[in-house]
Amino acid sequence: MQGLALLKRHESLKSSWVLDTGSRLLSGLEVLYSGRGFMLIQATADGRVLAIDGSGKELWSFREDSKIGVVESFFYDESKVKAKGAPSIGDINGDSRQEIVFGAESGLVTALDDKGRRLWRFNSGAPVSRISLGDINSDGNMEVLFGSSGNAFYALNSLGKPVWRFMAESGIESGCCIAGKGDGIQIVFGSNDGTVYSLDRKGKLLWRFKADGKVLASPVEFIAGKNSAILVGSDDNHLYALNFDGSLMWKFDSGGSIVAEPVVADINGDGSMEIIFGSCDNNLYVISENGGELWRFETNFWITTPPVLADVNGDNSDEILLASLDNFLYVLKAEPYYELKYVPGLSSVIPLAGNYTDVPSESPGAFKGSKVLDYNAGGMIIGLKAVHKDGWHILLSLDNGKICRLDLG
Amino acid sequence: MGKNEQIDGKNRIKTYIKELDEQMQGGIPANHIVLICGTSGTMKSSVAFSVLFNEVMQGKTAMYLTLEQSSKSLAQHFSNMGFPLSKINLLTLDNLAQVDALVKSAKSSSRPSLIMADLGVVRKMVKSVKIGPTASWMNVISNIIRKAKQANCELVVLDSLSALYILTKFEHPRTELFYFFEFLREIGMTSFLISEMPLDKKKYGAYEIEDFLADGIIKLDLVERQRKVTREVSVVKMRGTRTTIDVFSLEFANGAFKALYGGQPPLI
Repeated sequence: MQGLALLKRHESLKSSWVLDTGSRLLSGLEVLYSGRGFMLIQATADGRVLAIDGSGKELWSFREDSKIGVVESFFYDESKVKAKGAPSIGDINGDSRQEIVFGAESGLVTALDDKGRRLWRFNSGAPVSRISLGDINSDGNMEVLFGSSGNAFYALNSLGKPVWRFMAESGIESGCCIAGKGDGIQIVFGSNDGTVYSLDRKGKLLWRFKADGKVLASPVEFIAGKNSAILVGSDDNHLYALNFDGSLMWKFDSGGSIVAEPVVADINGDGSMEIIFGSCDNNLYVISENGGELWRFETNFWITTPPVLADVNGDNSDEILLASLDNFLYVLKAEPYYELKYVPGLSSVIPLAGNYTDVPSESPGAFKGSKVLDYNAGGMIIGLKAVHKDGWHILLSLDNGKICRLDLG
Repeated sequence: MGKNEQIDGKNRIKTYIKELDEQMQGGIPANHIVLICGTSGTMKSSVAFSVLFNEVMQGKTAMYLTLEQSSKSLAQHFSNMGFPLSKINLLTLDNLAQVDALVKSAKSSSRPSLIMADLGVVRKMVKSVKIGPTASWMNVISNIIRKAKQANCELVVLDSLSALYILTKFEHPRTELFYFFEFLREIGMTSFLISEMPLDKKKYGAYEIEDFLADGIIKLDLVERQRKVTREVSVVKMRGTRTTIDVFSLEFANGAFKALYGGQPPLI
């Protein structure tokens, strides 16, 4: 209850600034933390990668050249040729500074330093959507991991040189997750024919699992004791929980495609983890670690970005930030829930909904999501981040080219 | 009424079906996406071309994008119908490598231009072009429309959706069509999409989402009465304007379409 009360005292979310990039945006934004603060990294449809500081000022811009023939260029989505997925950020070369790596429809994977200078680029020959970074061989440097629409999955070293390549049986648009540790590392990714692959650190196939639809969302490792699993969302409407040998633990049927990664956290403080994800049936789902639905929240359009957890009001428990293609950002809170069926003094049974815990409850211990705030961004929200720097700030990127920062005010 | 009707502050595009425009406050609101539906032989292409031709005669630039019948055959057909094509700057786009030159030509022409984009010829020409796995004909169409916009093109006809579905293998047709319609809406051109209806006339488009995504639907029909077949037209839906959904007879004479109500011009 405290969280709800605090959020209500803050009247609304207010835009601190809005930056118009002058181009459509096709992918979300990333945040690069540096000693002085943070910067937002955003790829634009006209082929730029922009760095923007916390006050909305553009710091630098990088433009990737692409060489495609005149006739050939007509066959591609012009707006995706130069920068496709959201950039990934990490210290890939151990210099204690963060680098930015992004892929493009042209097949180029480019690494920039934090000043926007190109470090290297690698031509995979086929469109690259999502990049993942992780140290898979324990050499202290991160490898760059990505799949391409040409069916190949690559591991590059910190200098952009290929370490190994694995050929899948269809194009790859999902990112990957690195599950396990040391020699037991598994690199798990999905593909366009629905096959989920798990590779060892040397790129050898460990197992595969077949979903019924395309896998766009990056798999996520879910650590929860005996319920630990790898979570995979699919275009076939299911969220799959896979054992670490690739067998199916359970699956959850949402009513629409799942194109964004789930997040995992104990959002109601009950000591067990919840899995939170959006679906193209317009709902945000919160399910238990066994795959049972706890509650859902319906928006007015598809949810295609992962929810973000942040304690935006400082009440020591996280709120769920949810972006929907209905233009709205929602702030949700998991609140204890009951349905009161008896009111003292009245002889009849009256169903009443509420969220108080100190009264008799038909389903004691249950939680339900309540919307405590929303914000109309004025465009489809395709990127959402929350940054903690002198308080929480919410960053949105919109398909109409605008980037904005929201603060509670 | 003038070429751009200004009712309720809206720019409008006439259908150039006499008496029908009067039924919908002067015409179709500009930048709408309109399905022109009907079974075979209902004059869908001709109605769409008539809009483009007349708007070009009023000084606008327009594009007719054909995916099935060749531009040569279409031009011959429209000429035979009585459209004086010599009065406009008719440009044929059949080579992707020359699109920029054609756009330049359309922009610099003193006469208003109608671009006939012939995807059939283009397909034959690009058979040898090496393209990647995400290449698609949907992108070709979108990119041609983007180029046409650069030539100040204000109207586009896509003939037809049915041919587009054969050309493009949709993985997720409803999603991909949603984004295609969004693209047309964003680019700010009045778009006419020709849709071949099945003979049972139970749906306006193959994926049954086209009618929901479109701003307007003009339905053309062939009706047999005692062995005499007449054409009919009705406006099933038109967002942002008042319209009747009554069915009119459709006649074409002297290079112009006319809507009749029980054999007579409808009462407004």
